[in-house]
Amino acid sequence: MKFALIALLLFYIGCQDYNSNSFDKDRYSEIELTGGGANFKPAYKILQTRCMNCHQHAQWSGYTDAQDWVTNENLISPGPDKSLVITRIINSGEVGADMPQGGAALPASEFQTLVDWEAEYP
Amino acid sequence: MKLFLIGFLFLFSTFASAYTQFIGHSYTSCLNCHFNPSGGGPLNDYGRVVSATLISSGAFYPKTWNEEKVAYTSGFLFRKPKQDWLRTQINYRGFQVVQNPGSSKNEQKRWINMQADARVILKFGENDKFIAVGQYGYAPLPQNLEGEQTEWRSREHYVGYRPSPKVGIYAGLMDKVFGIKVIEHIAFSRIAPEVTQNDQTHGVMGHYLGEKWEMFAHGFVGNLAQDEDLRMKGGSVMVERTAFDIHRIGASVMSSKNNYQDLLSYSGHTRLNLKEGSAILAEIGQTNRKTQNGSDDRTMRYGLLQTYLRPVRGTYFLANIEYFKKDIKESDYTVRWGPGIQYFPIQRLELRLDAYNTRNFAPTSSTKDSWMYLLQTHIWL
Repeated sequence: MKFALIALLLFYIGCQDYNSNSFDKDRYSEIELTGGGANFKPAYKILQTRCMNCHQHAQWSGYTDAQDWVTNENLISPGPDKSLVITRIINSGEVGADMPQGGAALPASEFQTLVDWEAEYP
Repeated sequence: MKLFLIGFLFLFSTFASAYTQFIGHSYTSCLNCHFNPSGGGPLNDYGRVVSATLISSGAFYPKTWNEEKVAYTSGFLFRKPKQDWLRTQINYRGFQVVQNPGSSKNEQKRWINMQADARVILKFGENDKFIAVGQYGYAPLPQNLEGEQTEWRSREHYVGYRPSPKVGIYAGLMDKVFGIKVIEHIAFSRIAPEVTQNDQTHGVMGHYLGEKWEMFAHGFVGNLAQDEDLRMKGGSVMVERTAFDIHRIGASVMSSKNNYQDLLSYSGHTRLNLKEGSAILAEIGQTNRKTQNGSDDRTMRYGLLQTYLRPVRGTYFLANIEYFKKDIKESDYTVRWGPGIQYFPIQRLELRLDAYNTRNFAPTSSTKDSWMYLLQTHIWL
C-alpha cells in the first residue's frame, strides 16, 4: 500500500513539457499564407522546417502575411542582401553567420529559395 | 568488512551509463550503476562506489586512504547511508560555451546551467525489487521559451519492479529506449530520432538481462504534460548481445507519431572494450519522417564514432566524429568532429573540455567551418 501511494504521488509531479515535438504544430501543420510573391510559400515552409523549432515559434509561425516579416523584428529588410534571415545562415558566407546553430547547413536549393524570396521585396 | 564490500561490489554483474564508454571497464549493462536499466539518472550504491574508486583519480586522496575508505565516503554528503530504503542525490551540470573562439568580432561566450536537480530514490524488498525514483530540479529552456514555461520540473519519475534479477518492469516518465545514450544531447544520433535530453515520455518499459542478451521493450503514450496533439505515442525495442564477454553489439527500432508527424527510426550500434578503461562507441542509423503538410518528408541518416582512451586513472581522452545526412536523397551532408578530455580529479567532480568543428559538404555551395568549445563542470553529491 505504501509503495502504491508513492507511485501515485510520483505520477503527479509536474514534468517538463518542452521537448523536440513542442513546435510540431507550427512546423508541420497546414498554414494559410497571404501576400507576397511566388517564393513566399516555399520560403515559409523552409523557415517552418529549419528555423521555427528554435526561433520564436509563437511569433514566427504567426507571420503568415509576407509583410509581417518586414514589420516585425526587421527580419527582412527590403533591398538585396540586407535580410537578417539570410545573412545569419551559414550558406551566406557572411563572417559570423552561424545558423542553424549546431545543425547542418541548408541545402543549396533551399538557401537559394530564401534569397529569391528576399528579392521579391522592393 | 572488506569481504562485505567486495561482495557488495560484485552483487551486480554489468554496468554502463549515460557514460556508455565505461564498457571499457568491462561493465556492459547500465543496470549495475543506475536504477534505470537503460542508463542515466540516479546512481545506485554500487555506481557511487565505482565513481569514487575506479573512475575518479586517486591523486588527491590522503595517502592514508585505501580504496575501502574511499568507497565508504561515496554516499550522499560523504556519509554511509543509515537505512536501506531511502537514497538522496544532488546533481549539477553547467558549462561555458564558446562559439567562434578567437574571432575578435564573432566570439560568443555564455554560461549555461544545464542541470541542477535533487533526486530521491525509495527502494524496498529483497534485492530492492521495488523502486520509486523521482528527479526534480532546474533545466534550462530554449531562449525563445524563456518566461513562457517554468524551468523547474521533473525530467524523470518512475516506479520499477524486478521480480528477479533478470527481469524488470518500469512505469512512469523516462527516456525512450533507443541506441547508445551518449551524454552529448546535440549528437545527431540523438537529435534525428528525437531522443534528446528533454524527450522523456510516459510509458511502460520491460527489461531482460540474460547471460548474453539484454533487451528492452518500451511502450509510450507521450509526455502527458504536453497537449494531446503533440504527444508522441509509440514504442521502441532495443536488443544488445555481449560479444567475446566484454563487447556489445546491438540494434534498435522505434516508431512514434503525433497529429503532425510520423517517425520511424532504426539503428545498429556497438560498444567495444579496449581494456583499461578505454573504449570505442559506434552507431549508425536512419530516421524516416512523414509530416502532415508534407513540408519535411525525408529520411535522415547519421553516424557516430567515439573513442575514449584512458592513459591514467581519472582521465579520458576523447575523439568524436559524427556524420549527418539531412536527406538521403540529397548529396549534402555534415561532419562534426573534435577532441576532448574528461577528468575526474576526485569523486563527485567531473571536468570536461570538448571542441567541435562542424563542416558542411555540398556540391553546389561552400560554407565556412564553424568552431565551438565547451568547458563543463559536473558535480554530484
